[in-house]
Amino acid sequence: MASNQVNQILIDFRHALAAAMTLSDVESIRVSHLGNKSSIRAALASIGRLPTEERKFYASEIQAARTEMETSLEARHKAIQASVTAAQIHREWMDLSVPVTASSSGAEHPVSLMTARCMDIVRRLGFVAVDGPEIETPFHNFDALNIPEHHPARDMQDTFWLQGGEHLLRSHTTTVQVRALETLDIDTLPLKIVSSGRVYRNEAVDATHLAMFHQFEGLWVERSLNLSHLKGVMEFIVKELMGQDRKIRFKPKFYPYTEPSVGVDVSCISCQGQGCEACHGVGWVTVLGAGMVHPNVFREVGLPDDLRGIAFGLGMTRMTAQHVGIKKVRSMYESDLRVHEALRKAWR
Amino acid sequence: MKISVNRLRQIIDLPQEIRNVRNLLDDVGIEVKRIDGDTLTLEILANRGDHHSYVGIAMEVRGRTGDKMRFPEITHWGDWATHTSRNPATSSCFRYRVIQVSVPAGTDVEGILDDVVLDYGQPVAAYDARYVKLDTMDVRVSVEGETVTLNGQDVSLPVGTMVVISDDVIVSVAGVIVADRARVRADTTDVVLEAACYNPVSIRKASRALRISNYSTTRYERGSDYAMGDRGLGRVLAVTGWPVTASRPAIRTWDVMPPVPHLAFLWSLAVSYLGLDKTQVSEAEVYARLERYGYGFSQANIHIPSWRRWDIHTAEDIYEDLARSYGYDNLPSKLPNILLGSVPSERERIQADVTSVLVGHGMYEVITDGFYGRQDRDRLLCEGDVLWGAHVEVANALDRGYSLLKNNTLIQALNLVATNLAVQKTEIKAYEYTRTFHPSDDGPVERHVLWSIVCGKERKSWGRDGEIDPIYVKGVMEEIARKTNRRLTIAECTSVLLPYLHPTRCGDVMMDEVKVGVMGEIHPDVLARFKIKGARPVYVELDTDLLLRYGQPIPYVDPPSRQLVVKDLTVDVPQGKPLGPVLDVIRANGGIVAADVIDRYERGDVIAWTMRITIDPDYDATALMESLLSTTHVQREAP
Repeated sequence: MASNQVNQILIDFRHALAAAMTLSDVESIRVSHLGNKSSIRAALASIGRLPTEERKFYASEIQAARTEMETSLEARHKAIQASVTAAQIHREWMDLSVPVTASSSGAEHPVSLMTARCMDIVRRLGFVAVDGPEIETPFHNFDALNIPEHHPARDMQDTFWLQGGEHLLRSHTTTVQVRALETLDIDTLPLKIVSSGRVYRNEAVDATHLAMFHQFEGLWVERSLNLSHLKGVMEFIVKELMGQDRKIRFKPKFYPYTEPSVGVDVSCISCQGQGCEACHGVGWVTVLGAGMVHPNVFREVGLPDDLRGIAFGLGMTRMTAQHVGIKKVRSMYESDLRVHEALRKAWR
Repeated sequence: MKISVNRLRQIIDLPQEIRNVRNLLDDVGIEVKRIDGDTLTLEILANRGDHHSYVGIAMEVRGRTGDKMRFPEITHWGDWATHTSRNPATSSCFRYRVIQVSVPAGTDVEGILDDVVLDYGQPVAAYDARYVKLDTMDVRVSVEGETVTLNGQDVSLPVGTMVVISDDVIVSVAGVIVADRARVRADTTDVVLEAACYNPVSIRKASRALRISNYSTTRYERGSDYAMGDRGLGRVLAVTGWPVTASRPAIRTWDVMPPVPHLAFLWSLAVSYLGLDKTQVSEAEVYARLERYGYGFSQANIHIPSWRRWDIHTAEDIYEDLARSYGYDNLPSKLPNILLGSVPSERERIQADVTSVLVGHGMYEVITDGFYGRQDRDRLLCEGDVLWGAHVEVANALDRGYSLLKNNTLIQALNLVATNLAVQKTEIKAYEYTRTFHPSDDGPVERHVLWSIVCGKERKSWGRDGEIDPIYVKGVMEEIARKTNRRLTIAECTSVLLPYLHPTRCGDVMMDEVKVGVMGEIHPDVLARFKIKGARPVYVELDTDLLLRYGQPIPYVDPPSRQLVVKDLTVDVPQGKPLGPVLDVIRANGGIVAADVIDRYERGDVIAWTMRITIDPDYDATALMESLLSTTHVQREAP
């Protein structure tokens, strides 16, 4: 084979490659010009028939031609690939400013979220959640809680009584605590429980008052408890819930089932205690009611006199409303899902 | 209650700055709700009748600060020291005192009394002496059929109402209001003034029955000070200068008044109860602090002050006063010893898992009322239906919307859909954990329920929307079942809600063969009754006691390491026949690793379902497919 034969192979190859427009064209050229049945392979095979002194020269010519073809093929492949890719990219432009198609998640109700947050806090102290009926007896709702007949809390205007007069809708979740005390085994002390959920008050309803709302109440029973422990537990809960930098104050209150009874205030977040419209000029906001369990409560369920207990409760509905910044608490209990979508965004 | 700061300053020293006065009063448990110049609006604790007076407030402040008080001047007159015991006609009147005074014509007697009584907190009633005879005045209870004119209206008195009489004619409801016949008029010049101490329960009952609330009822129903009557009258005389023209001996009946409980008080226990350091507090200090509140000590006995007779019943009540003397903020604070925290219960964990599925599918938790009205009931339920009559009823709802406790959650779910469609919100996904209430022979029963309602479109990509339908909801249920290690199936509907669901698009929700609830599209007739148009809501109601359980986890098995054989198979199922049994037959074959539905095509009176069959390579795929053909009467197509 003469050098001009190798040249011709190259010339043919270059023509063919120049006309290649697609990747499959390039592949075809590769097969035809470098494959098993290609001219360059035939030329390589014929080297053995040449005189010895010509073999080296001819072999290097063929190798050079082969190298050029491979290099050219690769370059052409790359160029075409780049062009194909560029065309695809251009064709596949997507408008990312349009609304999404993945469905968005919903949300738990803010009252549930706040309840869960409070539960997380009190669990660190060892509290567990317990449940109880919403339809209750007067004993569990009043008598056992040191609320005798003719006490203002028994007023017919405040309580939903059911037909028959033997049952009512619970007006506080303290009823669940009574049930827990009824079955308390002294040997298993301390008892630390939280009862939360719906309560009912027979009131005229408006934007800021509800007939049904939520409470969160805790009870800790142990012989060694005293008022300093009550303060300590309340401070812990309030600071975990509201922030470590909030100021707290305790003031005397009255609840029939605790003695002493305590109201726990925090400094108003809007004015840091200076007084503003949000706190009605007071500088403080009441967040919790608490107290040492009244001995009559223990007596009423047959428990010994030497027991001590800490009880506390907060209005979950109002606290949640303040947290998310909704003034008309009634909206939280209505079914307009736009409200709930907005509440989800307001939650932190 | 509104008070004047300057008037209070006349009785006890107070801080100069009004803000500090507020802080002091808050600190002693008398909450200042509002400040208007010199006037403070106070919220008095329900058990502290003694705080309904300037002297009472000042005594509370004295307990905290130890400052001396300057008691408002009272006028004594000669026969105060003369008392004759006499049993009144009712045991609910513990003390009764009347005097007669002369007043200039045109005096606003009631207006003056309204102000003067605030000093000592002893209500004083006034009668026109022309219509009452001092010597015949007495207290008894009313009998059947008695009436009295109050505020221009004739009122029938409930039997047993305590009344004041003169010549056996009712001249007032004791402690509540003077009858019209005996009220002071513009031309009254002789006035009988009355101060008493009554059983607070009697006053409360009368006040509530007659729907009358005033300073007198507010004070008396919290229990007045039986030692205060003379001082109350004496204050009126001191302020007004009205001369006493007649009086009569007080009726005093200590023996019918409930005895003062004997309270054991140990100062060391008090210190311990407050968490104080016993080495820092002495017995003398404890007694000195309590004496500021009017307690007396003699040997081992503690004497309760007369004005606290009604709210001090236990040693703990006294401990509270000791705490107040320090100020609650100044008492120690520490956490009790805590050995361990707690973790959520299994039920709480399962509920969190279920909730995560619902929220992940875009659902919003709502909270609905525990009741609805008869109008709501009748909108959904038909008279005669099982659910229609089976309600627990509320006896005294102020709003008729609260007259029935809900025995289903479908009504509120449908109201939710209607509410949202009315504001153009067509994508609706909501759920709630709640309870329904049911009457029973053993008393009302509660069921814990999880309900959900969804409707609208589910966008897959732009241009490809899918309508939310029962199959979508079944998918959500299936995910819940998976979260709880259970297998979901939908069975023929047997629920009491069946009449309200689309009968060919509903079913019982079964998890591991246990019925946990019902799901289905709403019946078109029900949608019409709720005026719901352009939407096809799907409803689910599950019993949470049955739902919130774990099934058995499936033991882990390594995925096959060898290449599986995949074949497509098309099955023609006649319209109206379920695919489920065909799938069950296919999946029951040994060697079938999975059978997943990948396509659906309606072809006349059949639906062609295409399934991707994954076969264990240890099995003869060809033979298996032929077996499937013969057992399911299917048509096979090569992949």
